[in-house]
Amino acid sequence: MTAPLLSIQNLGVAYGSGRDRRFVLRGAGFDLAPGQVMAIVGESGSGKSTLVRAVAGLATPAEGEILFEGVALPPLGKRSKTMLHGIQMVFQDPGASLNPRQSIRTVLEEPLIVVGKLDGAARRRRVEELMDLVHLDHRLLDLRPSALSGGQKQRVAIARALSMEPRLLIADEALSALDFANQDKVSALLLELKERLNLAMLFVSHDMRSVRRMADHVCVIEGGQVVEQGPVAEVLYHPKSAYTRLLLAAALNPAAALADPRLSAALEAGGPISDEALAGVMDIIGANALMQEQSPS
Amino acid sequence: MFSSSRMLGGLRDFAFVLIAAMTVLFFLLRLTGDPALVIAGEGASPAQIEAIRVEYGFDRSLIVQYGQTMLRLLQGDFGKSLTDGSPALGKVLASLPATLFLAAMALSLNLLISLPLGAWLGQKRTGAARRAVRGVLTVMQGFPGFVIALLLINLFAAGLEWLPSIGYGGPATWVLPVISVVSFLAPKLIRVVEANTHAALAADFVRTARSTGASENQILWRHVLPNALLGAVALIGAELAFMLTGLVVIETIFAWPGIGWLLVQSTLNLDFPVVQAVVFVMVVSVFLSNAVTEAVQALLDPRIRSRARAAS
Repeated sequence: MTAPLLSIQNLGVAYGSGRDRRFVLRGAGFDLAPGQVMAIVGESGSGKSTLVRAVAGLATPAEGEILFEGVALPPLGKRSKTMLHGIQMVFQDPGASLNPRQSIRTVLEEPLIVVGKLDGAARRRRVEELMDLVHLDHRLLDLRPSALSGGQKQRVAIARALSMEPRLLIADEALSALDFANQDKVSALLLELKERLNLAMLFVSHDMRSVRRMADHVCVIEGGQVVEQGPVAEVLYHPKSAYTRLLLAAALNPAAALADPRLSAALEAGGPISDEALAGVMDIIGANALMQEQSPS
Repeated sequence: MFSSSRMLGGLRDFAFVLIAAMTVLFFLLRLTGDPALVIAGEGASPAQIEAIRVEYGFDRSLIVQYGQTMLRLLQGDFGKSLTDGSPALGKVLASLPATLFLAAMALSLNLLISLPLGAWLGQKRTGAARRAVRGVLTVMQGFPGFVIALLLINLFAAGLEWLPSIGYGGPATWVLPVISVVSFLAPKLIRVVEANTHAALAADFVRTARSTGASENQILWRHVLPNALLGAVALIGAELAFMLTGLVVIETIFAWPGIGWLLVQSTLNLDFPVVQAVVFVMVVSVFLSNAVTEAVQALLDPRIRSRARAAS
């Protein structure tokens, strides 16, 4: 088995101190191999963003360890350039992740200047290569972010991240601010980049459609705890925890899931959800049909 | 930078504001008293006063006077000062440099203090020094400019006798008026720069810059300050407009011979033509300072530029 690129071990993140100290994530752990995509799913506030922020150095772990290429990651300010450049992040709001005062050319060229490996001409060539990688027209280079569409801005944000030649890309809800058409295009782009550059990804999302499309593995987080994790086919098509099933139902077909009398009765009653209700949910979301689609026969 | 249709729109707004201001001013002035009494002076007979009324047209109906005044103003004729007979607009223009000089010095000192201090506070979120500076700012924000001016006069002019309390003749006379204005305006600008710096530091584009290994200095100069200052430009413009119109009290306290001081003197003397000319110059100054502010914002922020283009 390949050595993991990223290994998260018993990770806990807490806010506050003393009596007010409250864990927002606890006991999280998984390995991610190079070129693999791990989807982190869960509802808002479940701790999924906290997990990837800890990997990116934006949140400080209270316990546990994050190993990147076999080395424990220190806080952001103490990371070596190799560590910094190896892990890059794409944020939810493409408008906020690009400096509004800079042209796209400057946005892409500045990280290359900081790295300092390339001279002027080589940098300009590299900027154009990056635009090609994310399928953007070179004519956009002299525009400011405000002149670009949401999808184009997110592509620039991805290109900026790629300028560091990362081994791990963190996409924190990177598709959720885009419309449906752009979500599909950008997720197709991410998949293409994953194959082409052997890029590993932490893909935070609550959209099961893109998770199914993008991920090799899924990690489901509820209330700061990992409730289920494994290969995508297993977690999405044979979910073990009731939370995963509910998440799937709500995400894939919320109206139908809630309209189903078995599920709505179970939700109203509170308490554990019966197998019968869960079976109903699985029917509604078409999970069984999907499983058949995926089966080798 | 701006299209001609946008400029025409601006001029139309300007004309409207100017006419509205002059109209309100005309009727307000007529409520304050009889200028014929002032011109005639103490001890004048009723016949003399009546003669003055006829001479200056104060005996005609208010509407006729209004129409005549507006017609004259449209031709750029502000009339003559009722107190010394010199052209009213000329009198105001002679006082304008003193106000502009005070405003320019106060603006420069304000920027010199507020920008670095605001940026420092925005970066530093804890510490005793920060708490102390913020405490002083909060107290200063609560003091009107004239209270600070009186305190400064008491301390440095009357008490220590280091500086003159009034006048407009050389650097020593500049110090107290400039400090009074700045101590009133700076806390607001410092707060805005602080808040903007803090917001820019938390922006995703700063996080991504950090993840490239950029130094804190690079991040501050390339990403944080340009964005923080942009938000401050609107306030700097508003403060400039305020200084061109609102230094009446400070100029009066320090006997600074600017247009604010002139406004008070001419109002007390019921010198209508001069009051009208002062207000006219103030409206023009505010309009110009707003136009400059917009132009600077457009220069700094491509988003405003493209919005302006789309709107025209």
